[in-house]
Amino acid sequence: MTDFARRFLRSRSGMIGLILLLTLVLMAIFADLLFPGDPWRMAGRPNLPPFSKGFLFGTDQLGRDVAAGIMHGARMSLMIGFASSVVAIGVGVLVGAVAGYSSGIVDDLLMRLTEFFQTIPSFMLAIVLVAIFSPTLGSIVAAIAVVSWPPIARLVRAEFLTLRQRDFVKAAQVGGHSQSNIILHQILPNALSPVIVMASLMVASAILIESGLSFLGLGDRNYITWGFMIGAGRTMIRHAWWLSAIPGLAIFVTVLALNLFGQGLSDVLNPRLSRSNRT
Amino acid sequence: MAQLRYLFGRLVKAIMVLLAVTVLSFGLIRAAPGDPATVLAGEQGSVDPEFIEQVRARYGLDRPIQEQLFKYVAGVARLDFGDSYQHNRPVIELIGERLPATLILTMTAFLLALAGGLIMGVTAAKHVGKWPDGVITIAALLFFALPLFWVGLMAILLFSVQLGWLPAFGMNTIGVEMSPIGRTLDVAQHLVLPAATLGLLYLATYTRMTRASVLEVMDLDFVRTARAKGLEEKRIWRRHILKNALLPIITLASLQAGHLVGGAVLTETVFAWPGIGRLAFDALLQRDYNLLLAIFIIASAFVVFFNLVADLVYSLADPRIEVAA
Amino acid sequence: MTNEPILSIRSLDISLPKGADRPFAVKDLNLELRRNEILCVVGESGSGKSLLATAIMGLLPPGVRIAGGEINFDGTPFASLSDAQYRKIRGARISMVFQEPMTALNPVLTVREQLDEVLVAHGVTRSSDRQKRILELLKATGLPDPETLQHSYPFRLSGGQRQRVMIAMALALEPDVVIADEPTTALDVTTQKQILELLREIQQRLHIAVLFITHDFGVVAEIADRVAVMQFGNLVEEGPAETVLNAPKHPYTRKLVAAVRGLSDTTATDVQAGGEPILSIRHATKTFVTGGSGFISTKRRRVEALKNISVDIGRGETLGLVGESGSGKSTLGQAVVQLLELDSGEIRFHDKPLQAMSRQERAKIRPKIQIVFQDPYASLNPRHKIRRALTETQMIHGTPRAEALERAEQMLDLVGLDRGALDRFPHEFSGGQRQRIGIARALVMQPELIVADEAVSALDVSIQTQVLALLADIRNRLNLSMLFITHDLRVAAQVCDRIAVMRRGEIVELGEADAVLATPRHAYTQQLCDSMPGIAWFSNETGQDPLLQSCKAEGI
Repeated sequence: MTDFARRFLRSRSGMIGLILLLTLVLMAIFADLLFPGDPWRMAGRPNLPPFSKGFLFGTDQLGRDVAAGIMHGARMSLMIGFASSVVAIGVGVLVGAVAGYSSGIVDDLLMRLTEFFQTIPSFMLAIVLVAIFSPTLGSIVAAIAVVSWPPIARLVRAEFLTLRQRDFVKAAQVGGHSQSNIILHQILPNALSPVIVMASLMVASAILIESGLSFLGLGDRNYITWGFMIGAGRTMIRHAWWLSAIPGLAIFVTVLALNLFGQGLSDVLNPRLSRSNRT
Repeated sequence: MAQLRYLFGRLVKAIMVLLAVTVLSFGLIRAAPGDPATVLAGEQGSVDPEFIEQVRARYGLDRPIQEQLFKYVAGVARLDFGDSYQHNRPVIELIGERLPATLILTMTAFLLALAGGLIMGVTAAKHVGKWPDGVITIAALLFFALPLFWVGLMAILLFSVQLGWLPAFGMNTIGVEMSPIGRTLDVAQHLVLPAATLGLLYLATYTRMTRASVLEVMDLDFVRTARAKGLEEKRIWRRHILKNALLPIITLASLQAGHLVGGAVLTETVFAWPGIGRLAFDALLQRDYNLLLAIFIIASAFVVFFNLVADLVYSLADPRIEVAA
Repeated sequence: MTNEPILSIRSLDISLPKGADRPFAVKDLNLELRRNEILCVVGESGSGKSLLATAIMGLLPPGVRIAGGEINFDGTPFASLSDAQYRKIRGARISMVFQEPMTALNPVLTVREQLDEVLVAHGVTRSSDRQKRILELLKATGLPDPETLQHSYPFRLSGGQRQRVMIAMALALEPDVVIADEPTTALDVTTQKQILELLREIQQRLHIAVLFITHDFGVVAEIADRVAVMQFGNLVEEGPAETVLNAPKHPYTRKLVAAVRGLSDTTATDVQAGGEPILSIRHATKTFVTGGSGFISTKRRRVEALKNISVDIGRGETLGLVGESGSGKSTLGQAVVQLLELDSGEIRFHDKPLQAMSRQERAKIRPKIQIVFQDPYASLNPRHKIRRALTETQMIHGTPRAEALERAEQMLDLVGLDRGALDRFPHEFSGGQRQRIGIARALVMQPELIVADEAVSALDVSIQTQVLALLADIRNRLNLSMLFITHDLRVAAQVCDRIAVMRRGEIVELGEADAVLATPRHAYTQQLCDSMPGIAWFSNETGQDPLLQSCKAEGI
């Protein structure tokens, strides 16, 4: 573990990503302290440009504080991104592990299912699901998870197929270890590194999908989100550019941070893969 | 012969996938909240129970669910998706009107992204570890993190609002008489911003994939063999490295080309591009689920179609395919 | 033989990148390759022999570079040549054959295209000349039906055929020097013999100089005129093949030669055949079907891995299972340890058929039959400490923790490892040490039968000897039975009481080890014996070799 930390500290992109992420998490945690109250409420004069007194990022047409929206929005973006990834990874690992270990007809069926979900245009499926089951926090998380799990399942299956052929797994079989023991203790820990890397990238893409959905008006109206802010500011783009520009930058920085963090993890966990990335 | 059998297998699989998508769509329409007949009747201005029964009979909603499903699937097979509740016209007509715009947009974006991605990826790999690689890798990383609809908005802000170089919305300039050439140029002008926006994410993807693939092939034994044969570097790159490295990229890219059609919703919405993505957004606002799901099926069909194209490209280009099959 | 050097290497240093296990891959090396000879450079892994070859070709991997000394080709130092001049020599006057025929050819170009481009690169401009030469070359390297074969893609060819194509490519412009880097290591033994004969024949016909890199003294005995032995980047001994093979001077050479020759010295048990068999296999059949998955199947391929195999293993006996790749020997081993189910037939352990047993009975039997694998890097879970590798399975079968640990410690003693090993991870050990841990893992279960599946094949020859000696010693001490699976007759001869020779899923010959080796009855066994590289050298003076005696006295 210490070795892991030391190598991660040495990865430049990983560290930049980590610092940005920690900042965002702190923003999300302290949103209520720094900007108490409802971010939807009117806080000042409408359409104040950024760097106005008391309003770092200005205000919108209804006088709502953009900075408050950004802080509270961080909470939603990270939460939805994280929650949907956890669900997607859970489903993906389960499907991939079962398919990769069982082979034969079960494997065949599960892989057809996975391919099917990979064939459907994912953003469109997310739109359809959220539209039909009405936009709530739960349906949004579920919809993103539904379109995100297939790559994880395929990755885990591929890892399982390779690892299952490894001699140390055979040795455990010859030793009479139970199947669950072999899956949980012999195979899974060795299959996790690439999954962890993919997970950090998945949080990033989940955040992008969520922002797209809220931009189209498919967000949960009880909470403020960055995508919604951009959508709302869109009609004002000629007069109040900051209303869409600033939330977009927030999404960009978050997604970039997660990508950098994932890059760092990949450098540490899969040195073989990233060998060619170094000089 | 083996190739024909391989492609036939793929074709059967494609049809199965489309069937499954159709069944899924039917399930989703039925899962939509509210009795469709009530919704329909309500939209047509009456909640009279008798009228609701009429509507129910007209749309076949009084039949058993299996029969409805069968009718729906049979309809889709004949490209009959029923009527749009909102527009009161056959769905397929609406889609047919809008599809060309989407195809112009997505294919332009795809070709731009693929060409740019291949060039940037190969350049980066050739100079791995040097400054061109650094610049390209960082650019790809940044593009990858951009929300497309926001990029579109910012592009409008910069190129249309501030600089006034390019039109911000739509596909044509409305209300101006133009020669055919002038009209084409007009569409091309309108196309620049949305195509560049939509292509950006794919540009980043193809750049990364190309770079990784070239780097991997560069390390393979047969490249060393080629050097040991005393071949010139140029030839080694062309015949040995690129030929092997770009094949999987082109296949993967054509696999993704189909996804662009479904992925164009946001871009078309931002630029008011009159394609099926924009149509989907309107259907969404008006809760016109019949139309929305028809677009969903059509978008899936494009993915399936391009999967077939990718298989074809691959089986023609790679001599090993018979073994893989 | 003319003694004029075509290639001379003077005080060559090859430096490794920072962070490697040593600063220099090759240190102060002096070597001459003369026209019309085959010079074998022999060494174990890490000796620097392969980097020497790539340095001559100017193909060193990034980070590795020539730090001192010079390489002269026909009187000209390579360092004085421009890139373009170097390239003109490469492939034309010096060419190379690589180890892995599977990956050394471009998969998307035909054989003809790949041969053609060498000729184009070196100025054969007329295409009719090139076509003629290509057919000549394919014919000269013994490839069947060159007219058709030239249009094939590499994946259509067998490993031996691909290596012939590589050789054809190397000979295309009648070079002065051919460098062959372990060209037969990836091949089966019968194919290896054919390729060695081909190289020898071509060398003599064209009077070229061959620098032949190998780890195998058997191959050296087969093909070398002169020998250079490398250890840790240094040249430790050089001389005519005759002298180095039969009267090596340097202790390292002596050790290597003894390790190879020692193998002909049998350490089989003196168990009498007959008696109650501990394991008997009856009519075992297994067919694999590959390819064609899903509801629309494409081309299916059936491989009959086992065709009606019947064989017994006696108590305390070691049965050798010898065959080339694809013979089905590993399949049989896996069936014995119940890693795969037979299609038909039965395996009886202590006269009870395994197939008919209940789950519980099977679980009880499992520890009694253990396996040692080939690849020491894949056989231990990289995330578990050795303690867990050696105790977990015992505890699953109900051994209390303390007792399991004690047994693990005893077995570590037995395989010659420090007890401190328990708290370390697999990656902290060398290949040979890991193989010892693999053996200990099998032994802690107190098995009655051990399946050793190519258990020493991945090891360097000196380590191989040690591990073989360890296996023999343990077997005798614990009165274990052993199923010893190997592709190497020489290794089998050393440890086995009886040998079963397998080919394409059948046992073609079964008999006492000595008898099978000395007087093989089946034509295939005969062919295997003849193909053993260096067979003439081994059988020349077995056993009574004074060198061997002296080595034994020194305890090597």
